[in-house]
Amino acid sequence: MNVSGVLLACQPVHMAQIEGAVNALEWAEVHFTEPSGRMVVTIEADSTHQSMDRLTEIKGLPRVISAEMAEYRLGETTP
Amino acid sequence: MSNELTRRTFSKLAVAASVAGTMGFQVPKQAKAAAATSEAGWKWDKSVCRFCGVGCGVMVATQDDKIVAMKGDPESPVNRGLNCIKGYFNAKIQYGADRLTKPLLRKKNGKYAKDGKFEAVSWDEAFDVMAGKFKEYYNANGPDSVAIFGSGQYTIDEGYAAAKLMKAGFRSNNIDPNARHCMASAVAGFIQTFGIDEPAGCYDDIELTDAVVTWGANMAECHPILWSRVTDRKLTHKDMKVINLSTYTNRCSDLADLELIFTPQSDLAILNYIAREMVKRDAIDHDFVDKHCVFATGFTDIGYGLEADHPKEQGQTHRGKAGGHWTITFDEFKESLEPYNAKYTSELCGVPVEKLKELADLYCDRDKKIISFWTMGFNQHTRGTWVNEQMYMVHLLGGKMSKPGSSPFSLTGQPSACGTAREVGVFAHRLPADMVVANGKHRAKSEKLWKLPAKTLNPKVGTHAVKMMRQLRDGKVKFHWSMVTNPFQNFANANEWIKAARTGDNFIVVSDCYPTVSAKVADLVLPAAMIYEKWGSYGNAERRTQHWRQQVKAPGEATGDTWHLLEFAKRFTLAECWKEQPLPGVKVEGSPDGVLPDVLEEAKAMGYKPDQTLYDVLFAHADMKKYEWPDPIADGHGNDIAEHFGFFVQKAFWEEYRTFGIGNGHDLADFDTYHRVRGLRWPVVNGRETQWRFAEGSDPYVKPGEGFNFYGKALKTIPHGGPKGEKTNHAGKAKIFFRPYAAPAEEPDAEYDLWLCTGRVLEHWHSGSMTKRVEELNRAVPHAVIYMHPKDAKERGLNRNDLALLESRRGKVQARIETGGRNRVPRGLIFVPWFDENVLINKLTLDATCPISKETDYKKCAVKISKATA
Amino acid sequence: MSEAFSRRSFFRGGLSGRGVAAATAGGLGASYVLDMAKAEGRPTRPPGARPEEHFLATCTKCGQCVEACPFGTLKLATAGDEVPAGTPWFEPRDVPCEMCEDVPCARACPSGSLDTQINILDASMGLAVMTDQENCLAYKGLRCEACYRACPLLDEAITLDMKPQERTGRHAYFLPIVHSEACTGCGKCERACVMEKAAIQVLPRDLALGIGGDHYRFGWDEEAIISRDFVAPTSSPQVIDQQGVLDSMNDLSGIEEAP
Repeated sequence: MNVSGVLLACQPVHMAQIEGAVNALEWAEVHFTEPSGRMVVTIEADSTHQSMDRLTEIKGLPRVISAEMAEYRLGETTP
Repeated sequence: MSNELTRRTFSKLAVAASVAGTMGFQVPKQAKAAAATSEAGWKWDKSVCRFCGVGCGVMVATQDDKIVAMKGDPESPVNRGLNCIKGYFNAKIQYGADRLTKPLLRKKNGKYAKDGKFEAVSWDEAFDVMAGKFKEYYNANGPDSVAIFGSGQYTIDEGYAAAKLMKAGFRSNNIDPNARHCMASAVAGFIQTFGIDEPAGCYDDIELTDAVVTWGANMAECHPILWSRVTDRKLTHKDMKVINLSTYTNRCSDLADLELIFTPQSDLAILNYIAREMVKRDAIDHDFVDKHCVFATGFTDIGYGLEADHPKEQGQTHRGKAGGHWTITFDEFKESLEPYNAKYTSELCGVPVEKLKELADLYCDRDKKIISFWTMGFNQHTRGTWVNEQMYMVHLLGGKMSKPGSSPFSLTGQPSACGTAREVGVFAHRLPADMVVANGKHRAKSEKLWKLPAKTLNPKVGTHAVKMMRQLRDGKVKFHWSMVTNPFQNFANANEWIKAARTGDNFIVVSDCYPTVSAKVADLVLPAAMIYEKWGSYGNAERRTQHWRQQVKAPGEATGDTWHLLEFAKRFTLAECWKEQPLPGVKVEGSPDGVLPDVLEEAKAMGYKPDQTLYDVLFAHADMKKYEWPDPIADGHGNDIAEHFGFFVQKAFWEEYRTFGIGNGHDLADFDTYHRVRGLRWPVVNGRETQWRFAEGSDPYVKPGEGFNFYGKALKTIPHGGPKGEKTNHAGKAKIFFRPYAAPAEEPDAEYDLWLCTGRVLEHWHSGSMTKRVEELNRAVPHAVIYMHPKDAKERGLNRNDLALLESRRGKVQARIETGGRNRVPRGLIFVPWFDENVLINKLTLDATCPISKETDYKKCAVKISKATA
Repeated sequence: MSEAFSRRSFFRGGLSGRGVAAATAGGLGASYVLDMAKAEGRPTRPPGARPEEHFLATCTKCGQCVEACPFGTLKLATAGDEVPAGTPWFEPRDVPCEMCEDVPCARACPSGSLDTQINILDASMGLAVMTDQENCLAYKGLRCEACYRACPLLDEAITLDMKPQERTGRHAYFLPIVHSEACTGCGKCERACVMEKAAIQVLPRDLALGIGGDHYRFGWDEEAIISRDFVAPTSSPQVIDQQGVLDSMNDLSGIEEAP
């Protein structure tokens, strides 16, 4: 299982909505938020490919301004 | 919980915490090194950097009433603990060996004399002579004969006190700041385009953008910490693009993917070329433009802000109506752009077509988020307002506006050009919160908030800065008081004004902290307290207002500028100022032309007494005095001004001042809040700051469903099709201006064969009065040099390091030649920084201005150079 | 760009690219070198100075170079200095060399201890070294780089290396890097350093520069391979002592516990 840390940015007014949408994804979780509209999200995935696909999926969520991979850790736990 | 789950949770948390830490997310838990014994007695407090408009936070440590250390504020969202070297030396600027500590008056035989020598005098004597001279001129010649030249480095309360004293007390609008030299074109661009001043976006855009384009902005040196953020964005995002446009190669080009060195003044054409390409390639955000914009243009024969008898001003029919504009259709707009094709533009600006195309490609890319940054290259321009408007033209056409990561961003030079000069309205035509003296409703509102009798405020726009100097020379302005600025070094064509000040029938007062050029030119010098010797607040370029507390006492008898103003105000009664006043050109309803009415009767009806002083009525009325000193927010810090006047002056002024902006798009938080946070970006509504103005979801003034609303109220009702067309109100819309190319006011010719461009270096601030007194900064850059192309130098028999004589039609200076170094100029242009009082480069510059903004063009005049003979 | 500049660039272009011979020394090592320089009386000499030994042997202490210097940079050592008395030198922190294009000091030398034909761009008065990275403001992340902007050969002798600052997550480092091929040792950087004691200082070149092993090439820098004449080690070919190897193999002392 790979874990990646993602920095997500949105307009402050959309934070609650996006936080909900991210947490609704089985493989993603919001950990920290900042009133300015930034949040730190982790993504779990079985492979690098899957991580990238899942990042793309988060980027595609409505009203997400940007979501960028900030940290990537391989195989912290076995699948 | 299973082991597996625990491990997963832990692992995710570790990643998240690491990201949060790296991104400066949480307030980092500072592993505060146990304070060494020597630091045990230090008291740390938050403040701001004294210098540029970036507005970095700093922490100041004091012990025994002395600043002992300084650090970048790690909690400041602007700089996260970093500073440039000017910021690094904030602690030292107050401790120069030649601080002014006593009032100094020119005297001969024990009495004031214009041709006397400076002698130290008491504050009483200083104010006696100063008030005496003021009354002599004011009583004989009226409110037009006195003037204050203020500053974008005034704290907000100082600017507020100065504006209120002049406008409400002396009923003179002759107050203008040095921000006239720096941001006036930006202001005019904002007001004409959006109806409200100051940028829509904020610094956060940098971390969200795909491209940064710098236009006439040497950010690498002049906004060092912001440039550090741009650089980080570029380094961490491979696809991020940086383009630098300038008239010479500066340090921004180090980072740039593309550099365009253009002929001075041709930026006007380049912007039209981009717009033409956007139209041609249909790179327009039609939905945005249709819903939120109108097209406009204005007069073109508006002159160059030179004096009326100058040859360049002849035949310029609309010199007096330079700002006049009207709406046009999209087709007319499109047609106007037609001449600006690649070939024509390239010939005009000297940039190859391919480079122009690459620039246009960027602005035409619908998917790219772009920030355009500009400063003095645009603002100090004889078409400064136009070129600001053209920048908005390009961003509005593409819909790259008020959106995270997309922003046309007007950078600010001074620490409070925004917070004080602009927001408080320390200009000849302005009142607080974007109101203007010429508007009856604005005057009435201000009179109400200031508790003045109706018709106290003078509706006639005062003299702007450049005109103030011209009128000083012409004997119309006779009392000239400059504060927190160094006009006799920073005005173009300086010889004229220095001579006028030294030889005219006038009285020159300078409030200053060091013996600057201006202090030496003055008749009376008032010693001023510096930034950390008083309470204060500044507003930076991203609308962030930041307050600080007094950290130490000022040396000797030096006092804050607010103290100077308030003590002076004590020497005038209402009867002297609110009587009927002659004022040529003024029209007040119910009074004969050329007369400001007597408002004493109404003042009496309001409960004022004619023998009350301006201090009593404007600054120390009951509502002010209810802000008591001491106050717990001081947290043990002193306040010499409050101690002296017996109430919490700065808090009282703040709370009165902010009533102007509430509900008006300029909302500011209460005084105490700013002492608890690292600044807030206005409008601050319900405790929340605003990152992106005009955008739904971010700006509280935009209603749900509107998407965007350019709600600024100024200049929204304009004619259509021409100056006499039918007027329509375009509330909520921004204007996309077409502005043509116009030749510069002065160009190199056979005799004066080089362009002169002036500017700054990282190591020094403005006229160098503070940074030249920091030994380390002075050592790093001890002199201003002439940056020159090696071939231009060779052709004239000049070598690097040669002492050269530089001359224009107006003056001459000597300085050494530098053919390498930080600035690489193209052939035909030289660059000279203006910080050095031994190289008074403004003796050479031309006092041509943008006719709309009245801001001087310090970037273009013609000079010649030769080897200096010893 | 002047002719002289371009000649220098051409010459250097053949040697190596940016950053190969970056002259940065850190902390203790550098101060050790500084102390060495002082102890050995190795002052910063005028441009065109012959190697120190030759220089001392020929300098007649006539002072003509000092006379010729238009900026008061050069001075004659006096008894108290750590420099042989009467010889010309300068202290960059006080008055650096302004790198006059016509090099009047060297041209004035009657004794041959200064190369009267020296092109100032080829001068080698010393080498600027970032002697204290730990305390340099730029390495702390502040926007200083005063040394870089003071450099007469900016972007050649000193370049900036830009790196993201992880701590803030939004700013960059602007790190000055000295390039020995272009640096003349004029000392403008040392003079400009805003620290109480300069973090960048001019050192004698031979003390400042390290020497890499001849056996290794930087694979990404092809220029280095072409330009440096690789000479294989000249020591005689190894003769392998077979018996010694066997004896060593059979020696288990210290490995096997004694019975």
